[in-house]
Amino acid sequence: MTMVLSACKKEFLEVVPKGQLVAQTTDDYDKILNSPDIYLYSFAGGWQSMVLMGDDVSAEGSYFNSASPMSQNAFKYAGDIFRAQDNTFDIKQYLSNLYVVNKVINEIDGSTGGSPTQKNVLKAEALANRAWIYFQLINIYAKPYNRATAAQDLGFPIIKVANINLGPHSRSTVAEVYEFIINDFREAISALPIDNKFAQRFSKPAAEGLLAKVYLFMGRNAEALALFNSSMADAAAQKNPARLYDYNIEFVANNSPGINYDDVTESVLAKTFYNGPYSGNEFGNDFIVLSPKAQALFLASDLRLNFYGPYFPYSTPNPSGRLSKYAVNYSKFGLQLSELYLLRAEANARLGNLSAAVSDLRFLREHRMPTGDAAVPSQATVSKESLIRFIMQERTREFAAEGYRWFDMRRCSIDPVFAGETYIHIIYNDSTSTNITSIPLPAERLTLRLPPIIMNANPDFTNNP
Amino acid sequence: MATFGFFLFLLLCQLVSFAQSPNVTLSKKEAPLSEVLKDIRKQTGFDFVINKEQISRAKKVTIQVKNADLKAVLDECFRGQPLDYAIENKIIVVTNKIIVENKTFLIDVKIRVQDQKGAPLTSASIVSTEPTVAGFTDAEGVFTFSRIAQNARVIVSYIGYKSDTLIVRSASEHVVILNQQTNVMNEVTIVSTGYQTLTKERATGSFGQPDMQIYQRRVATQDLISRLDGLVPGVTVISGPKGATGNREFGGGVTQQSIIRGRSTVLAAGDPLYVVNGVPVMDLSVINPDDVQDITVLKDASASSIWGVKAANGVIVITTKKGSSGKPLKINYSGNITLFGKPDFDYVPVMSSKEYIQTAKELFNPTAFPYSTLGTMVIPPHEQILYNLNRGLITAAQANHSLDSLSNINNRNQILDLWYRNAITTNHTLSASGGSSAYNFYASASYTGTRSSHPGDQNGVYRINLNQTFIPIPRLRISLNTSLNNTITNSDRSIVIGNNFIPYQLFQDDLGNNLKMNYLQGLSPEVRADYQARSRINLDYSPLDEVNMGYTKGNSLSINLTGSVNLKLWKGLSFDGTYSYQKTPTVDQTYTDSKSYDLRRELLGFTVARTAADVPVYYLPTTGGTYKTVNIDQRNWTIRNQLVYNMALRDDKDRLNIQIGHEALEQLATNRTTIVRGYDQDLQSYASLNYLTLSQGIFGTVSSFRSTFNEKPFQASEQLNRNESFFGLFNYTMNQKYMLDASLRRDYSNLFGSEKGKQKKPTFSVGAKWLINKEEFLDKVTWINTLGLRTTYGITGNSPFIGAGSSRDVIQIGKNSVTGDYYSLVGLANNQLTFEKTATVNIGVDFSILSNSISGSIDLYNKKTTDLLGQVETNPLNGASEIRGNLGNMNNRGVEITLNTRNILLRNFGWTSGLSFSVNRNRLLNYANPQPSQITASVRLNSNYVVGYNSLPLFAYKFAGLDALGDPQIKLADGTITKDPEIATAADLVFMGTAIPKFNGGLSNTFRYKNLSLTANLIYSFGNVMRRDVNRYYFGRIDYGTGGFSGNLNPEFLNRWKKPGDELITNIPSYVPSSGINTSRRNIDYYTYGDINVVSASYIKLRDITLNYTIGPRMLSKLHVEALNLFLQTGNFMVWKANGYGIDPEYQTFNQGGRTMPAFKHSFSFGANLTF
Repeated sequence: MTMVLSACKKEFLEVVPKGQLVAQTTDDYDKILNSPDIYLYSFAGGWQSMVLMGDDVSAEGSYFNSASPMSQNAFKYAGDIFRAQDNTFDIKQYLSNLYVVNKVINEIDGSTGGSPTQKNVLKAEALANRAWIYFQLINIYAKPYNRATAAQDLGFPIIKVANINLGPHSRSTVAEVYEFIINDFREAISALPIDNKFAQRFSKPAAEGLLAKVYLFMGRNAEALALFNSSMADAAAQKNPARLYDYNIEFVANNSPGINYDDVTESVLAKTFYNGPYSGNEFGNDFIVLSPKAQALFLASDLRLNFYGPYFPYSTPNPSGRLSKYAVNYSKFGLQLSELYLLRAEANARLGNLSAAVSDLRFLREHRMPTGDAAVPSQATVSKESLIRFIMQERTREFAAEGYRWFDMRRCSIDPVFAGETYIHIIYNDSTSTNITSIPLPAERLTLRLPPIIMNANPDFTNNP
Repeated sequence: MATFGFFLFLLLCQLVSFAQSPNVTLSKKEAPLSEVLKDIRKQTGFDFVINKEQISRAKKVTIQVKNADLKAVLDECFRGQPLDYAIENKIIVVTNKIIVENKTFLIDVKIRVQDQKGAPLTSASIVSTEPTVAGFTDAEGVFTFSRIAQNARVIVSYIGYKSDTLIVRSASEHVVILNQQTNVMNEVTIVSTGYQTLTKERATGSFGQPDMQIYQRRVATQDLISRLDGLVPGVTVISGPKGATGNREFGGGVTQQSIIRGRSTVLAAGDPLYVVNGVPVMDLSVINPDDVQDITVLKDASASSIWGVKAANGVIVITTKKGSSGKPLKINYSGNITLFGKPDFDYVPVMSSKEYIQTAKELFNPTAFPYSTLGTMVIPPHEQILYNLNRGLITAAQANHSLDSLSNINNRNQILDLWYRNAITTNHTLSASGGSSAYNFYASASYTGTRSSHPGDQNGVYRINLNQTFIPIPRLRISLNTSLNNTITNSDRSIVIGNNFIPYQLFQDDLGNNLKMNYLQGLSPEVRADYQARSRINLDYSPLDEVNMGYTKGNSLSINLTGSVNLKLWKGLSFDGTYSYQKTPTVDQTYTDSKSYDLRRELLGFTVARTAADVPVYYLPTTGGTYKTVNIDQRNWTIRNQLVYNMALRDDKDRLNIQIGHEALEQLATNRTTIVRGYDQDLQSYASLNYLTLSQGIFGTVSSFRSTFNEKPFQASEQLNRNESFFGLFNYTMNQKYMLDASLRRDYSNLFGSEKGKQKKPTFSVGAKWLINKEEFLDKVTWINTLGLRTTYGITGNSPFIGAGSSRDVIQIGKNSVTGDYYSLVGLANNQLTFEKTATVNIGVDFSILSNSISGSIDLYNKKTTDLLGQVETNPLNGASEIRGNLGNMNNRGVEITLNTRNILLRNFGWTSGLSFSVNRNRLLNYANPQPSQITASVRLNSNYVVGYNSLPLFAYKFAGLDALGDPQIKLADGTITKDPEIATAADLVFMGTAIPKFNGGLSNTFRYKNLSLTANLIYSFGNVMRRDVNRYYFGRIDYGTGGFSGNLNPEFLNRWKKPGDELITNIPSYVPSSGINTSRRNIDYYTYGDINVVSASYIKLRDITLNYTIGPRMLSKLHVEALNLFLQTGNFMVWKANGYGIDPEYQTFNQGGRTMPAFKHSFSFGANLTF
């Protein structure tokens, strides 16, 4: 009897439950990288807090007062946005993604059923994702890259292994983290194909464009330009390349270009985060309106203004007439084609190639407003500096209230072109424009403090000031 | 249907086999009776008793039968004979025929009444029928009838013993042995581990058994566990709504939670394992409480370790009723009705309309909350009036008039009349039992009708249970238990209206018309008018109209077959097999009509109409309804094979019992859900939806910028649990006074993602017992009746449930509408995970003294749990901030005392008491990985486990009064008084005690006067603390919850800080409109979680009081019934409580301090129990 039992025991207990499994095949890892967790932060996270911190936005007091404490803290440039008990999506999402991509990087070579090429491509994709994650983390929790101090500035711990029991950790320097990002991107670019299955997943032009952005952030403009060019070329060579919507056509046809969260027409790399009213998650943009400074940047004919309206969330009219970007509920923060043009223009401008920069700018603007207004104004092209300033303004026009501005403010703070610039936040206490509260941005707040949940688990860390 | 047919077939087979008596074939001509009888014996195996004198008188027999019924054959043989016969237990007794013409033969009969040990029972009641004569036995236990009818029925009863009925056939001495009723002192108690049954006297382990009489009378609840409250020391029943838990792993019905000997687990369920007829069950609610014969609680390792890795929380073994051999057919009816009334609305304090409107006026703040920002918020009538005044739409006089009239309305009576009714439960069980030497059975059919307090709910439970034993040959015994449980529920869409709804809002006007409450759905009149105009969808909302806009129907069938085989193989060796199959198909149907507000509002979100002039485009069906069916199917089976060796040694001085066995079980649960839209109930047709388009979002709908619809029309899930175990048991009894028990078990399971090496967790136990009273040196100590000392040690386990932890990353499939299939990580690997283990030492004494008038037992235990499974905090940098892991070690120590006393025992009056008492001290010894985040104050306030403290510790801020702004202040550990909202750490909190009682138990007293008895059961619980329910609303607008029925406030808010100086007279913080100011200036938790708001949770309750009347033998004989008793019960009376706030701890959530409204105040039950 015992013999019979032990013979059938193995089969009896070795059943795989339906709906759950352990990754084994190369295809399993492919499906792991296909997870929206990595490219669609549909509930919370992403640049939600950055949206609230950019100087392109102001706040409507009545909504601000009932906003979540975190939203208020972010807008008020408080020392800590989060409280001790908050396990924040802001950082949690990146870290759980990091676990997933590290898992793929660590385990893909041992997977079954895939060719070496397939494995290399998936590993490259995971590496590019890791580099992208670190590019976010280092630009949120560390000082802007400054060649002179990067080797001393505290960065973010480098974690290369998916293991929940890892530790203790220490903060690597900004220079080390940038080095790590560049290496991951370089390795990824060597193996990634021109096309991936979807724009949501890393392709070679996406990795090239983002590495170029890293270089631009480091001030390595020439290397950046070269990669922007190859990114553009490779993107154009895709079977179904990203293209710019021509708002002159779309809005006449009564379309709402690019608003849908899975509309990836303009995306070289489509990463999306929820950027709408408070819905039980941490942050909401309910109280946000375009700051007067940002609003002044728009020509009346700029069709991008179609995304804005004098509305409170839930579509009730705002008697003050101030504009909110109510039509955008999901923002893209991977690599948009429009940003690629703007970044290449910036690299060109910084290298003194003003006409090349102007040409990229004009191409973008022609898709955003009537051709007659699309030309770059002549006062902007008089010097490298004026053109760089114009490019920054164009970035605000393109991406206002979507978090991009926060990263630009960080870069500008150490850029001689923008020396002396200060930033303030305005809270409108009623429907007038006179009863306001102004909140200046303290210089050290350009670098966020590590949230208490990280500091409590890593008491040896030195937090940012 | 097929299953039901199968069940019927079984039933029929069983009935046929019972009716059958052996058949005989005979062909005799003028043969002597003795020869014929010998032939019959050969064919039937029935023996004969006949004497020589009778043989000589017998006439010759001529008979010709083929396969005829034995009884018919005998009738034929004895026709015309001077002899008669009777069949008793397969024996045909030949008697002399007494010929009495039309006259009853009268005989003298001597009845001798004894207990099981042969001792005479004095003053036992003896009643005969025909004629009715009654009397009592004398000092020898004897009563003599003179000249009563032959075949008269004599009923013998004695208090504390089961009555017996006998038919007197002959004029001789009849000895009647009465058995003691269960759970009366000095009985031979059998305890069952589910694997073996032992006499309690010889068992080394710690077993607890409730008083089954009290259990049976607690008819107000159908929940087995609730009925145990206060009856078994060491078993803590978590009373009230917070203790009602469904089975976590495999669904199933709701059972009251119980904890045996303190909580020994953190993450895994703390519930004990439930075993019915030797088989673990997931759902206790399918068992008819009336079918339960006995319940044994296995508390220590020796008792429970045989259940292996499932036994760490203790085991509750339930045995259902069986027939017994050689007993005539007995039919029993028990019925009862319990009246509950309506929920106790007065229990949770809320403001009156007047107070509420006054408060609303004080809080009204159009600057902080401008009307223009409230377009999609709930603005109740009183606030609308205030805004209308503020916006200049009405005059102050108009506003005051309206508000005053609202102040004078109270909706309480309407709520109770329209939304509630008196709850009633009725219960009927009809059972029959009987048996011959080869077969016996117990069959029951029952109906439980539950009329809940919500009108529109219907709930009926039908149960059939058949328990039978076949003994085809003496060496073989086969038992088969078949039970069927059918639960049918039906409800309309009625809404639960609690007592914190806006107090002036009526539901019907004076004429009985249902009132509209459009504001409740959170659209201002202006926004609603716009939506309605564009969508052309009516947005009126009247709660009473919603009731009939749909229904929910449930039908759950549970089929349970358990068979067991016992075959004696050779000498002391036998084979035991237990085979069980349970299947529970459940179907739930929910229909919501498109006319319901929910669906109209949903449709609004999928309607595109930019202006009122546009023709609306509807993306969801506008007719029919949403029809959802959920099919849940559970299928469990268990196979257990045991070899048992039982041997007497040394001339029966010693006994040895060895068992080895193998067990396999599977639990499979599947779930299929389908939802169709636009369902037409008559045509059974439904609408086709474009799920892809809908999931990508519809832009520019009437109520939303973009609406997405992610409903899945079909969903399926499945859970499979398999276990395989090997076990052995060893018992040795020496000189009938020294006992040694041991057990060993190893479990394997299919727990997914775990490494095989981690599963090799043997559990074991050893135990010894010494029956001291059997030693010679105690022979002369006559006041000691029994005295036993026992001690045990063993290890039990707590297996994690599926998905509790894994040594590898577990991924789960998902589908994205754009990028297709994907896997997401649902469980991160933790390679440091192992099973929970609990080692238990138990020392116990059983005693019975002074002629058994005081008996009881005392147990001391020490339970140490290591590798506690729990949510372990990890470094969030690694990708998750917590994971299931091994948390640390926990210790439970305690004492349990059971004491039964017979205080007064007179012929007409008796008083007995039963006390159960438990002390438990629980402590979390250490964490594997304490994390610094655990030292934040807010984390600790909500922690269920803190190193060095009891489970469920309660911490509080040291409240230090209010400051000049009415903000709460606290005293930090260093003595500073502050209100800084961020400053407090865990070190600044004070430990107030634990939410788990230190002492608890029950005291029951039974008083008997003649046939009337009164039983009162007190339960008590001491030494724990709870948070009080304080007002928690201190900022912002009152949250009315869109579509909900809340908004009323705690009256304590009236006494809040309102002006400087109030801090001297109140501790209740001030109100601030801005949430921003509230969070930046102060921390309200300093008050709500302050030490002043922690109170003692000790209480004593009269759980139930029962008046029972047993109809006397004289009356019984007239009624021609064997036994009849009637009872009346009520319960839930607070006798004493330590808190001065009127809090009933059973209805309080201890850590959060919330009051729950009791479903009823007191229940009243009436019942009868009738045996034929």
